[in-house]
Amino acid sequence: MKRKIKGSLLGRMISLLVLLLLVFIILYPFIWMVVTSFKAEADIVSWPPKLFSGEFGLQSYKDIWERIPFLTYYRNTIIFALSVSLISLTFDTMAGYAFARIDFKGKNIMFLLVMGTLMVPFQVIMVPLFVEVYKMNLINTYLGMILPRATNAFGIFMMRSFFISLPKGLEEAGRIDGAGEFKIFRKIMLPQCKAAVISLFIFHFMYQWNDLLYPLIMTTDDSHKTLPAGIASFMGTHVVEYGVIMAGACLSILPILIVYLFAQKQFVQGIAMSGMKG
Amino acid sequence: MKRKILAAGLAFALLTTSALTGCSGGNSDSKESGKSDGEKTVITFWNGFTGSDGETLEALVDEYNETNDKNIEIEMSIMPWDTLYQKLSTTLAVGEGPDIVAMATERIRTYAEPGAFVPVDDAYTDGYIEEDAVPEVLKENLKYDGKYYGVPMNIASLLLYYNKTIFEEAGLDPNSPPATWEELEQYAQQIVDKTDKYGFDMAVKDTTPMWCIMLWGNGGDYIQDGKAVFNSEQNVETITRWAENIRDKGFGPEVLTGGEIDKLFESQKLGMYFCGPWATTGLKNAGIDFGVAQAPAGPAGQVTQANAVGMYLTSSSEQKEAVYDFFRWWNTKDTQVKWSLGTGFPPARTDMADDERLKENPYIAEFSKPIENGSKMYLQQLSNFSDIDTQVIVPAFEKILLENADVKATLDEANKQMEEMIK
Amino acid sequence: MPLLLYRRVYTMKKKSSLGKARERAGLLFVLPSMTILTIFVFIPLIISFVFSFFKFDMMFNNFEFQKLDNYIRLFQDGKFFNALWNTVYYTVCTVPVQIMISLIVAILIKKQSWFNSFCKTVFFIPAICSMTVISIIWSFLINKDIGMFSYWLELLGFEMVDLLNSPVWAMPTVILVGIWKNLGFYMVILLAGLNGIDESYYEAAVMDGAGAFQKFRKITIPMMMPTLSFTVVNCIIGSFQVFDQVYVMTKGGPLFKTQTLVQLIYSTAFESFDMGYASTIAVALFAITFVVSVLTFKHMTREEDNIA
Repeated sequence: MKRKIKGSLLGRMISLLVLLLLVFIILYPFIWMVVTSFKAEADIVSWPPKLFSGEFGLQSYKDIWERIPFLTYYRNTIIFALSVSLISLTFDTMAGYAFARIDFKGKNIMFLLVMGTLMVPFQVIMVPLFVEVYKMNLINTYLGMILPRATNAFGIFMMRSFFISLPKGLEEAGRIDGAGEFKIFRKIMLPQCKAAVISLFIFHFMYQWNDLLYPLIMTTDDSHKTLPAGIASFMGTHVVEYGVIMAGACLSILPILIVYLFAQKQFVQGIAMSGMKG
Repeated sequence: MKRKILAAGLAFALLTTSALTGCSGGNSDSKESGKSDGEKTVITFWNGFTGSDGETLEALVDEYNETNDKNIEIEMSIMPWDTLYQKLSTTLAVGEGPDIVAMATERIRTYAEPGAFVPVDDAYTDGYIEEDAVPEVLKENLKYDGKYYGVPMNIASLLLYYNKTIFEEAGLDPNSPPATWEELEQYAQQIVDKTDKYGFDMAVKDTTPMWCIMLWGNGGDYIQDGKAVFNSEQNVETITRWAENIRDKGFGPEVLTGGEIDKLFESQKLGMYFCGPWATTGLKNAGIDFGVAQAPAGPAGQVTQANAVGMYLTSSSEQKEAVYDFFRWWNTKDTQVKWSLGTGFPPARTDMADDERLKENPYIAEFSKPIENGSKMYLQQLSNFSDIDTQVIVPAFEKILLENADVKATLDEANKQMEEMIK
Repeated sequence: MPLLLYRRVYTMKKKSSLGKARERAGLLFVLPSMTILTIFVFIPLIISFVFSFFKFDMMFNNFEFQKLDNYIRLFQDGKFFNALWNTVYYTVCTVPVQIMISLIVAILIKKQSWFNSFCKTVFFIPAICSMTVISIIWSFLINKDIGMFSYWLELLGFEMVDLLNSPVWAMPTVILVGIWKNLGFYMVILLAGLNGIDESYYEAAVMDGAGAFQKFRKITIPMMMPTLSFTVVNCIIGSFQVFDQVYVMTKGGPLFKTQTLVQLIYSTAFESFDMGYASTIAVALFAITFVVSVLTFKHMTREEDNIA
């Protein structure tokens, strides 16, 4: 018994050490990012490298504010990421539900097709997709940016996993009451999956928020540019402006970080309940 | 929850109907608005002048928009160069490209051949651009198949940057930079011996080409009269000599990118390297005591690399006249002075050497010198420039520098590949 | 994945007599998603597939039917096999290490405590940051001559290797940065799976005198199998499509040692402007990913059955 306690104490020490080391390795680059965003460009490169050196100021933040229409890009990113996340969430949930709990013709083949789309890198369909959206006359519109992303195989798969793990016969009660399928979905199923929906929302939002290539390809002028594209414009061919890029990165992480912090509990729980139980 | 579903349903209905009827929500189709926006002619202009150059460019474009009397408005979009190429490949084919594109001259043929760029000979013959003022080295390379496809946007040359502090530390005279290869080798060796710094280095990839300065300095080249001459005797000699200097004598790290070598110099760990005018501002701000000098002369004489960005009229444009007006304005002396002073690039005109206004920045004159004579441009007039550069030449240097591969054999192989590709 | 799906579907098939109304409702539920996927994924995909038999220029002119020439070229293309090898290298190294580390971390911070939830937050930060920014930061920090990590190594008396310019070290570096970034994402999913295991199983095991390792092997792994297969397949698919960090950190170099399939597709399409052949490579990538993920899932579900 005594040995066991000692062993677990040692184990705990080791695990604490491992975790602290990991925290350091993961946090350090971000500390560097934040500190760099407050440094003058000329103080960033030096040997020996110093984390805190030179003067600190808000120059990089001022630069990003003045040199790109920051608010416009921020607004565009929010519109794009938020609409895609919300719409995709709705459709993914509906499709996931049907794939999990309703029998209909062609279901298996359809689901295989959905899964197949997970394996398509965007670069592969980029050119035909652009031409198509162009033919629909949707280039340079929010609609043209949002519509192709309005559903997502990962989301369908995740929601399906969730619905499948709900107890069997949950819908029977509703059916006995004579409720229609939509009502069952809305009244019985949806309330069960609040947490899963939140997690999927965060995944979607994260992904759209950081996406550089897709929103850029779907527009041909600056009016719908998103934040990642704005930040990329500080990566000069010859001169990379680290300070400004880091300032932009800080500003762009912030909203997701806040959402994550608030939703963290729901979030982890959400996937826990979705269970991924296959 | 109920309301959410309802909203989603509505959104979906909205989406499908608008998709079906082809109505486009917002109405910012750039070309349409170009024509329908009152009397204003809107010209779209895409380029890759990110970073601080972009800041100057934006100010100039704003100035043009405010001052031009033809009611032309330039709508500029700045993005990283690689993004620009991707966007061009989606938009040009459907005629949705910008009116003007700027990019390096070595890419002209890639776009001119399939008809994505349109000849602009008349910009020269109709007096928008003074042909005589265009630097000789640039003139040929704005053409493809005998026709002008572009007008000058900017031009730059590479000079030898050297760190005066390191020179002093190594016991060298900070006011007499090396003038020949022998001196360069001797100085670099002295820096390596006397300090813990690197002496001299050249970037190999993702960079404005530097090794070509050495190749040309010894009378070699990559392609001559449509034939690959990468494995010439002179080249084998040159590359053997400098690979030994860098790799074996430890003049510097074997393989660097352009960004890395800039940072290396900025961190005061590297004594000398080749770079263009864009580095001067950053280095001055960082408080580094540096000088610039003409590239040291090789056995075959003194030469350096010049590179230029041109502006091109695309096949998507229907606003040729307005585009030409901007071309004209950009190449006036006044604009060139502002561009020069803002970015450090020398003006893309030969007749401005005595312009008083440019004396404000002493580097400009230094960088202008080689453009008039004593500079060459790298791999121009090819239909597949980037393939030859990134798939053949860069790997050859990497093989030699990183893996100690036999120079002659590596160049022979690379030459064979090159011949295949330029056929 | 598909196999598992079939199992589920079959078990539900038994009671399909509930009438046409349900079937119609089912179709209605998937209609929006299927419509969007059809228009914006399948059709472009089919166009890409058609492209893979042609050669044409960047203005979409001069279409030449190549018969099977593009595919024949693929099988003789050293660059394709190099990229395939690199992609496999990346995947084979990433998937087990990624899942293992993420799982260990998840187990370590499973218990509720303020320190653990602090860790949970910290580990998730890389996941919400864009790969481009992360690649820039890491390239800077591990730079041999100006990076902080090189400096620390120097203080400890070691000399840093120029990681990203070394044919040997470039790929492991890219792999590590990928793992570093995705740790939080997989940790969160695995943590969720862990939380789904009933404590009573462990209590019973302790009664039987099982040690920590045995608990892990006999309870955690089997109970986690569904979650694990999901993460593994997800990780494989992601690894086969690795692009961003390679593109920013090495551009496929040095000496093509980090050129992956998606990067090859990218450079063929947008640097060599050979859209037709790029589509051919893409079709090959699709086929390979599909086969590998199906096989993996099949294997893992069999394992699952064996354990169950």
